[in-house]
Amino acid sequence: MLLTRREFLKTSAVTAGVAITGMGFALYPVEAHAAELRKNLEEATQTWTICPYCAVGCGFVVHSSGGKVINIEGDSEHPINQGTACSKGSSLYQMANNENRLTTVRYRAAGATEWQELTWEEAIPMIAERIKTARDATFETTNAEGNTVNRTTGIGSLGSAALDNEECWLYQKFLRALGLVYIEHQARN
Amino acid sequence: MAQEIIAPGPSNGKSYLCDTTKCIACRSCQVACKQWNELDTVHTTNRGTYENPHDLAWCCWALIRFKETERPDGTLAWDFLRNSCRHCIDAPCKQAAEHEGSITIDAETGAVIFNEGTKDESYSKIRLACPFDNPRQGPDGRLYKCVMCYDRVHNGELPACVKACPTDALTFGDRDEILATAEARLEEVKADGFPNATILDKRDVRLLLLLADPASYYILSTREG
Amino acid sequence: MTNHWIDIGNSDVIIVMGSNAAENHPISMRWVNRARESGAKLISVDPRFTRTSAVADIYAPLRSGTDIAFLGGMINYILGGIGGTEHIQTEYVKEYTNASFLLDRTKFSFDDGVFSGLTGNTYDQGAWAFQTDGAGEILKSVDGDGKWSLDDPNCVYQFLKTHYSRYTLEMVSGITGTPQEKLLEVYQAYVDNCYQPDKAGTIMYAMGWTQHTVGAQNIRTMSIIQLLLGNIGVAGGGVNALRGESNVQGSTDHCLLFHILPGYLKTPQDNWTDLATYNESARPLTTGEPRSLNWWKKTPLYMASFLKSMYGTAANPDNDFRYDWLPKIDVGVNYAWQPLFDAMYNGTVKGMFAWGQNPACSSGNANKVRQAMAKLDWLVCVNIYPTETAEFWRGPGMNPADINTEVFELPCAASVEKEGSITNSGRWAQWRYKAVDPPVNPDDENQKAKPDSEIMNELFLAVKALYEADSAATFPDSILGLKWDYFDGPDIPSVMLAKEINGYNLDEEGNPTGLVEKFTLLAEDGTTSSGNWLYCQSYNEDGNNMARRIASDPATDPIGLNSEWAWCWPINRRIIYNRASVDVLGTPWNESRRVIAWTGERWEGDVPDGGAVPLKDADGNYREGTYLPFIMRQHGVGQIFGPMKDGPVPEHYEPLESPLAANPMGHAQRLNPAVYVPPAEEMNAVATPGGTEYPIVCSSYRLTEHWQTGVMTRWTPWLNELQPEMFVEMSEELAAEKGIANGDRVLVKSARETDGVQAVAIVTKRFKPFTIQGQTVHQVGVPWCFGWVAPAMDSTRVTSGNLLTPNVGDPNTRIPESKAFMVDIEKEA
Repeated sequence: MLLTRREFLKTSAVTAGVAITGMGFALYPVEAHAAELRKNLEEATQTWTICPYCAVGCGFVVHSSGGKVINIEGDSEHPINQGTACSKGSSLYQMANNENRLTTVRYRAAGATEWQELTWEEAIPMIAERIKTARDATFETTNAEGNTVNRTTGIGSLGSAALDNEECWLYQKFLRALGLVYIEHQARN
Repeated sequence: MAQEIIAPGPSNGKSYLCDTTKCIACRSCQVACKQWNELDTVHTTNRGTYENPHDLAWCCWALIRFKETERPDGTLAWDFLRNSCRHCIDAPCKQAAEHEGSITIDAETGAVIFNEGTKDESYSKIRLACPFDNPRQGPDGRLYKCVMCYDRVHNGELPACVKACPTDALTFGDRDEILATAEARLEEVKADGFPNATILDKRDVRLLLLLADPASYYILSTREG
Repeated sequence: MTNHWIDIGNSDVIIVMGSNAAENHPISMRWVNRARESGAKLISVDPRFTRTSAVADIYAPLRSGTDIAFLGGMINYILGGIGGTEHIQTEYVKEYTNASFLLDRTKFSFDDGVFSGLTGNTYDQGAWAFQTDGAGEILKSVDGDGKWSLDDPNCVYQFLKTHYSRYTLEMVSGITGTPQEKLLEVYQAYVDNCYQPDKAGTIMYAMGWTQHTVGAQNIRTMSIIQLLLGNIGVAGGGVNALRGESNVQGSTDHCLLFHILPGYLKTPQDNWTDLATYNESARPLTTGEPRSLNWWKKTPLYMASFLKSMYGTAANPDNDFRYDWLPKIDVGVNYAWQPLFDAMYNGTVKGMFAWGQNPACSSGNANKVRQAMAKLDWLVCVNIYPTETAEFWRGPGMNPADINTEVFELPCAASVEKEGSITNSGRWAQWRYKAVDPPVNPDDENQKAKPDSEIMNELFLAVKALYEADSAATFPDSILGLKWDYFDGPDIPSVMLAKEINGYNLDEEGNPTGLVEKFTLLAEDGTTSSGNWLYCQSYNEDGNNMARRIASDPATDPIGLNSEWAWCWPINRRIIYNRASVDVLGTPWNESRRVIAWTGERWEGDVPDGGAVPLKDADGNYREGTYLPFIMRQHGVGQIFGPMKDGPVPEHYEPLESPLAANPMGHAQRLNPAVYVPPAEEMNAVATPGGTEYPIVCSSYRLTEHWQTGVMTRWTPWLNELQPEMFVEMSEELAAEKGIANGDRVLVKSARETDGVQAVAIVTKRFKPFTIQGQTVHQVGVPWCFGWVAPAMDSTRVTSGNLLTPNVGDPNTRIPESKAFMVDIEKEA
C-alpha cells in the first residue's frame, strides 16, 4: 500500500471534553458512543477512495478498524470536492455497513418460487456449463455472406459502469474471448 | 444553577453562517450529521414535498425546509432553510432547566449541550422554552438536538455538516470572523438584487441565517411549518 | 467532458440545460459558485424549476424534447438573424472550423424536413460531401488574400445562416413554450458574455440531452454554438457531459459496448476480413485537408498493441495478431441495448449477464425487458444488493411458475472492498484503495462477497477448463489462446491489469521488458502491447500515475489543471482541443486563463493537443508542415457541418411521442427520419402523436438522494429517509383539472404501462403549463429510482418510472427517449 497511517485528530477528545466544564460531569460528546468512536478513529486505518455514485469523482477518506469501516467523509486534500460531499457521498458508511448486502450465492431454478443457496464452488461450474452450452449452440464461425465472424448472438451482457477500469477491461476481454457481440452497459441505458 | 454561562474566551466562541443563497438543498448536511453522530433513521413517507423527515427528531438534528413562493415580479423562489439548534448565546433552554448540569454551555465554542441529565427535565418545558422549537425527546427519555459536533471542533475539525456542504452555504469559525463574513456577504446579496436580505438573530445565536428573500418565504421552525 | 469539473470555475457564463447539476452533480456547484464569485451568470433551462433553477440567475422553461428548437434560435441570434448583430468569434470560426468549406449543392440539399441522401430511414452521407479540387482537396470560401472566409454562398457558414433563419423567436416559442422575451434573455445572457475571444461560456449537459430521438443532435447543436463562439479548447469553455455512473467514462473508454473496442477502435465487421482490410477501413485514410494531422491514422499501431494484450504470444504479425479471433458484427446490423432485448423477446438469446446493472428498472420500456428476460434460459446477476433484475421472476405481474429462466445471483465487493481505478467525467483516472474485505455471511463464513475481477477469473477458468476437456468443442481458439495471467503474477490483480492496459514493450519472444511510456511509442509490429492506447501512460515506469495526489497551488496553476493529481487521458491533457485556446500565432485568447502558450520555441502549460507548432510564424506567415488544432477530426477543424446518421446539421423534430401531430417547422417530417421504430405488436406500443389518450408530456429524472435505479441507495436508510417513495410532480393547474390534491395517490399511465405506475402527487409551482402552438400543454415528471425490491420486497408496488418510457432511441447512439414521452394521470381509486 502506498498509504501511511495518519492521525485523524491531533488531540484527544477526552482531554478536551473534560477540561471544558470543570464541574466534574461528562459532557455529551465524550460519553457513550462518541468517546468510543473517537478512540476508534484515532486507532483507525485510513485509506483513500473515490465515490462510487456519480462521475464527478469526489475523494473520500475511509477510516477502518478491526476489519470494519467506522467512518467515511470527504477527502480535504482532493482538489475537486475539497472535503465536501453530497447526501449520497455522506451516506457511504451505510454502504460499507449494511445488513442487506449480498453475501451468499443464490440460485433460482426454472419455475421455482424461492431462491436456494449455493456455494461458490457449486455455482461457478454450473454457470460455466451454461455458458458453454449456449455458446456452442449458437456460435457462428461464418455468416451468411461466408465471412469469418467467430461470434455468438446467443449470449448478451449488460454492465458495468460501476466496475473499476481494470475490471471493465478484463470483462470485455472475457466476453470477447467467448465471442459475444451483444455487449452493452449503462452508457446506453 | 451553580454555574452560569461561561463567558466566551478571547475568540468569542464559535458560530455558523448558513448562507441560504448558496444552499442547493442537497441535504448532505442532514446525512453527514447522522453519519458522524450515528443517528437512527426516521421512517418517512412522501407528503407531497421533497422535505423529509417532516419534523426534527431525537435522531434528526438538522433539517432542510423547502418552501415555494411566487415573488411579486413573477419569478419563483424555492427557498431552502436549515432548521436546527441555533446555539443561543443566552440559551433559554438552559435557563428553563431545573437540574444542574443537564444543559451546559461549552466554554470554548459556546455550544449548547444537552447532557445525560436532560432525561430528568420536563420535555415540554424545555421544548417550549426554545424559541426555535428544536429539542426532541429520545426513547431513552433524554433530550436531543445538534451538539455543534463539538468533539470534532475541539479537535480542530469542522462540524460534520459544515465540512460536507458542497457550496459553502454552511461555514463555521470564530464568531467574530463569521459575523464579519456574514455582514460582508449580506451587502453582496443586497447589491445582487435582494435589497431586503437579512441576517436573523445575529446578536443572539451562533447559527446565523442569511436570507435573501423576506422571512415569510422560509419555514423558520416547526411551529410555523 | 472536453474540460473538467474544476474548470467550470473559469467560465464567464454557464448554461445548465439537459442536466440538473445541483441535484445530480451537487459538487459541480462548488465550481459553478467559483465562477459566479468572479461575476459569471448561471442559466438554468429545464421543463421543471429544479434545485439548479432555485439558485440560477435566469430560469427558462421549455417543453421536453424541444432543445434543438431552443438552441436553433440561439444559433440564429449568434448569426444575426435575431437582433440583427452577428456574434461570432470571427478568427476562431474562420481558422479552426469548417465554416468556410464549400458544400456541393448539386448533391446536398435540405427539403421538406429531410436532407438529401435518405432512403428508408438511412442516409447516404456521401450526399453531403464537400466540393473538392482534382487532387481531392476540399475547396473553401477564400478572400482576396487566399485566406479562409465566410462569404461564398456555398460555404457552410452561409448554409447555416439560411438553415437557422427559420428559427425565429416566434417559431421557437411556439415549439418550446418558452416566452419570447425569456428566449431572448437567455440568448443575450449566454452569447453576449462569451463570444469575445477572451471570454468563455460553458455548457453542462447530461442525460436530459442524450435520452431523446434527437439526442446526439442536441449535443451537436450546442457544439456548433460553442464553435461559433470560440469556446472549445479554452479554459471555462468546452462541451461538457456531466455523465452518470462513477465509471461510465472508464467503462466507455474500455468499450463495454458492441460497436467499439478499448480506446474507441471500431469493432471489426464481417467484410473487414483481415487486419489489413481493417486498417484500411476503420480509419480515415485521406483528409481532403493537407493541414489535418488525422490522428486516427495511427489506428494500426493501437489495434496491433490491443491484440497483443488480448492474445499475448499467440498473436504475431504472421497470423494477423489473431484478428480473426475477435468476434465480428455484420455490416448494417445493430447490436445495441434495444435490439438485444428485441432479440431476447423473440427468443434467440439464451443467456445473459447483468453485471452491476439493473435493467429491470433502468431500461426504457422496462415491462418488455422483464418479459424478455423470462425467455432466457439463464441469467447471471452480479451485484452488492438484491435487484429488481435478479428478482424479476417474482416482480409485479409475473408468475414464477411460468418462468423457466434459471437465475444466479453472485455477491460482489463494494468500492471500498477492492483496489483499482475509475475515471470521472473530466477523464481523470483516479486510483482507490481497499479499506476492508468484502462482507462475509455472519451465519456461514464460507459464504462471502468477492471482488468482481475474482468472479470473472473463476468463471473464465471454469469455462476454459470445459473447452480444454472437449476436443470437439466449437472454436475454442479464442478461449484457449487468451492471455490471462493476472491472478498469479507478482502484483495484485488490479495492478497487473492496470499495467496490461497501459502496455508493455516486448522482446522478440514477446516477453515484457518494461512498461510503455506513452502511446506515441506504440508500435504496429508486435513489439508493444497496450490494452487501451488511450490509457497508455497511466501506469508506466514512473509508477501508478492514477494514484498521484499532488493538488496544485492556485498561485502557480490559476486555472486549476491539477496536472499532478491522478492522471487524465489522453496523455494527461486536461483540456481537449487546447490548441484552439490560442490564436494562429500561439498566443492565448485570454492570457489570464492561459491553457497553453507558444514561447517561440515550445508550448507551455497543459499538454498541447498534438504538439504541432502554431499555424503562423512570428512574421505572420502561415507555416508549412504544421497542423490544425482539432487533431482527432478528419479535416483537422471543428465540425460546424458534421455528418451524423441523422443529418449534417440539427433540425427540430418532434419526439416519438408528442402532443403535436405535425412538426411546427412547417414540413412533413414530424419525427427524426433516421429513427428506427420497432414493431408495436412486440410490446412497443406508442401513443398517437397529438392524441387524447395520453395528452400530458412527461420526463424522467434522477434525484440527489438516490442513485440511478436506486439499487444502492434504496438500501441506504439515511437516503430513503430523505426520498422514501415514488412521486409525480405536476402543476397546480393540471392538478386542479384532474381533481388531485398535493400528497394524493395517483396513477401515471402510458401506452406501455396502461394500468399505471403508483405515485404520490407533488403539486407544485415549479411546473407551469406551456402554451404550444396556441394550445395549453401540461408537463409532468417522474423519477426512475424506485422499484419493488428495496427497501422491502413488495411485488404489489408498481413504482418504477421506466415502466412508462419507450425504448426507441437516437439513430446514432440508440439511447432511448426517456426524457420526452406522453402519459395520462388519474387519482387512484
